[in-house]
Amino acid sequence: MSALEIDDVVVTHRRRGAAPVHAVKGVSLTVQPGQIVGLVGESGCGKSSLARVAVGIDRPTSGTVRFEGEPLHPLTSRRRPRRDRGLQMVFQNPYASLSPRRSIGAQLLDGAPDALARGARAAEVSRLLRLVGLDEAAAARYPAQFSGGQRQRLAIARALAAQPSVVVADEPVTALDAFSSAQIIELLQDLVRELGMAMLFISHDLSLVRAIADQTAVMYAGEIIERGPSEQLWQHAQHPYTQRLIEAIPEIGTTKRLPGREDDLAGTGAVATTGGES
Amino acid sequence: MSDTTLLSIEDLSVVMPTADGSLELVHDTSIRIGEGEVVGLAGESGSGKSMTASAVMGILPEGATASGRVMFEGRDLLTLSTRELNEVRGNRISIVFQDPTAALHPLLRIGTQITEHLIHHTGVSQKQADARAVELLDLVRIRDPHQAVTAYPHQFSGGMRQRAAIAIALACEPRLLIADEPTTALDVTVQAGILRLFDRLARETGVSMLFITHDLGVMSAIADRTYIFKDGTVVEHGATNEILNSPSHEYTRALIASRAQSLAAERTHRGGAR
Amino acid sequence: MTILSPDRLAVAKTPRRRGFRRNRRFTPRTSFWTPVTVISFGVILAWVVAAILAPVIAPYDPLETSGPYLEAPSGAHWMGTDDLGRDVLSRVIYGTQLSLPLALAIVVFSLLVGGTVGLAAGYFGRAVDNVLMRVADLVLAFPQIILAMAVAAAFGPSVGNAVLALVIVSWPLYARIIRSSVLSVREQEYVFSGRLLGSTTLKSLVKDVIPNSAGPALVMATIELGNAILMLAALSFLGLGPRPPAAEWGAMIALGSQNLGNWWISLFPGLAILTIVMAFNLLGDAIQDYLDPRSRNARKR
Repeated sequence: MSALEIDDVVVTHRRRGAAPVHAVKGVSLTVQPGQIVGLVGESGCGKSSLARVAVGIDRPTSGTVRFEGEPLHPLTSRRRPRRDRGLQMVFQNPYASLSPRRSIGAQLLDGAPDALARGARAAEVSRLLRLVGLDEAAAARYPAQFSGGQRQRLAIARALAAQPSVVVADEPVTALDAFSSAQIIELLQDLVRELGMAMLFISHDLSLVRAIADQTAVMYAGEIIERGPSEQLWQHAQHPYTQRLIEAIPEIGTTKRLPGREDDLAGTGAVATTGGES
Repeated sequence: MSDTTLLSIEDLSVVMPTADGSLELVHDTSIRIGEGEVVGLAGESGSGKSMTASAVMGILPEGATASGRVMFEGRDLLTLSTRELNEVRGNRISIVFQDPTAALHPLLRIGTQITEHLIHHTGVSQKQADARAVELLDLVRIRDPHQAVTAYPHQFSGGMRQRAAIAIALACEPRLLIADEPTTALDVTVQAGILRLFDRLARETGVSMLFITHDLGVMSAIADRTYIFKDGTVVEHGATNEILNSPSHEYTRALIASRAQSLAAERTHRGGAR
Repeated sequence: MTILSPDRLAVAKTPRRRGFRRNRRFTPRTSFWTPVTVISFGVILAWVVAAILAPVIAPYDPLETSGPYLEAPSGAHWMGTDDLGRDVLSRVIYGTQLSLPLALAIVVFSLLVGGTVGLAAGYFGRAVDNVLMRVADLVLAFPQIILAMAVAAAFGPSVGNAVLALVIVSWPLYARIIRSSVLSVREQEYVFSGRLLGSTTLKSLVKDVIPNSAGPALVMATIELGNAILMLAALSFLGLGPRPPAAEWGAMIALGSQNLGNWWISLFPGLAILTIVMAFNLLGDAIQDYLDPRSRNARKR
């Protein structure tokens, strides 16, 4: 039984007075327990729309999302069903992942089982903080007192409170510095290993996905155009878009070597990927 | 290495008063940019690299003070009056920022934004400015520049907006172009195009560049010499690919080791792929 | 737990002596307590004290004749007397006991009503939003004071009805502001993560949405306090508020307007209104500037 199964999901955003936006055009993806699957795509490819549907924030236009074999219930005004709470998400923006007005301890306890006794709460908060490598004293503080990298750790700790078996990470290190980013990547890998979680890791950075994911899928214009084991994809990419993506990544070379190809004439007219549904 | 010095930053310090006392954002930093060179400033956010550029352009945040000297065309930019600085900025030294959307006026056509700028600084006629605007959009490789000058920023993609911002920056043929994380907000394929554009501009127009980024791969592709910033000072500098391939300072080594490519390489060596 | 490679570990351990983390907010030298803010706060404080200590500091009973009629300001009556021989100073002081609590009541109730409407409209959206906002638009279509007059006149002039009328005309403003805040807050990641973790809608509203949306509304409330005093004064000026012989500033101005030759009867309550309304406005501005991160990092040159 797969941990997370995305089955032919289509996401179409209807807009008033404009053509509908086909953000996701039939994507299927499976994540097995203990596995990290990477999803790579540039802005406008639909990966963020897919992430929201995968975790249940939005309802797909068609297709199913199955969590541990059972269909996932998208969020409604009712409380999220208990069994769905094993599917959690880590978001891109570390400055918006935590409410600025609540203490860290209070926010970490949001995902803890309701039946937790008062005395056990402090212990649980400490346990979560230790899992992500932060000091217990953080519980009494507020998000503004932490750096971006630390806030992302706190966001991960908050997700861990629900003891998730699957985590969808949507660009979790894009907004972070190199050091913080590397630390978070290592943290996520360790957690997956130690807690036996499955992870869907979404990023625009193919080299990052290569660093963390076992399997990689490349997304373009709402579809998955190539997928396979990460290292194999990197070495022997078949699809021209994947190849272009790889060539465009700047490497440290022995001489100045410009990335990409010399074919760019930026077009006008047919226009902006603004409002891109990525 | 270029012989003529275009910009010389000498012992620059930038201090900012805060509620917890004075904070030194940049400390005793010296940087040299030669004619026709592309010089890179690398480092994490908060390391002082952007603040250094802000000091050169005279756009430090409220309350911050700069000391030291910034010599450009025989004058110390830090001592210039606002009027004198306005004559330099956008004209002799231009800057391109990270967010192209914020750099462009949303309600003016691209052409107007270029011509307004040109006429203000150089006093050419409207007709001449219009022609130059088309030239500039062609220079930055925007397709169909005659059509593009009539477009509004929201009709452009992110990469095109950045090209338009570069066109505005180059309008008055500045001697130095400062680019502060110009590709960080762009997709990797778009970034590749912009980097190629910068390289070509440097070679064709002879403009010198001060290129700021945290991405060492980008630095390797574009910068002749690089200064590595840490906590407000320069910890290492030299020919870009020399210091990136054989770093002397442990901080440089750490920066290189934190890159995604390094992590990926590590993982492959550990045989982690399943 | 996590083993960082030696290079990264060494760097991570080095304490940062210089430089700064962009994410730590600058608190600039210019603090909240500028001279203007201090004075505004002082003025408000003085009036609040006057309200509390009125029986102690007022020289005369505000409702009793205590001197000759229409006497100009003198040693015995610093602000003169009105046409019934009542001491103006005492009436101005006692006026705070009406104006301040009533204005507070108006603002609080408007905030509650408007806040609930705005919250519902912003959070639930679509049909709920449409209906509620059209009702708000309906109210806002009328000039505030005219509508207040109409309502007060319809219900009969009294203190309670004046408050009711003013709440009816004021709530849409709060509804709009709060709806606007809620619309942006409800898209924040922390709201979603709360729901994903199993928070009920109620918990989400109470813990996440309301505390983070309240800011702009509270700032507006401070400014609206001044406005409430003004509108209350207007209503009572027109005879639609507190009935005579109550010492309410607006009513006092009305009384004095019939005797403009005796300038002191209208002037002093007028000045009272002016000082307190300005103080609230300036304080509200200061709070708004203080809370708005953009104005603090404004660049020079």
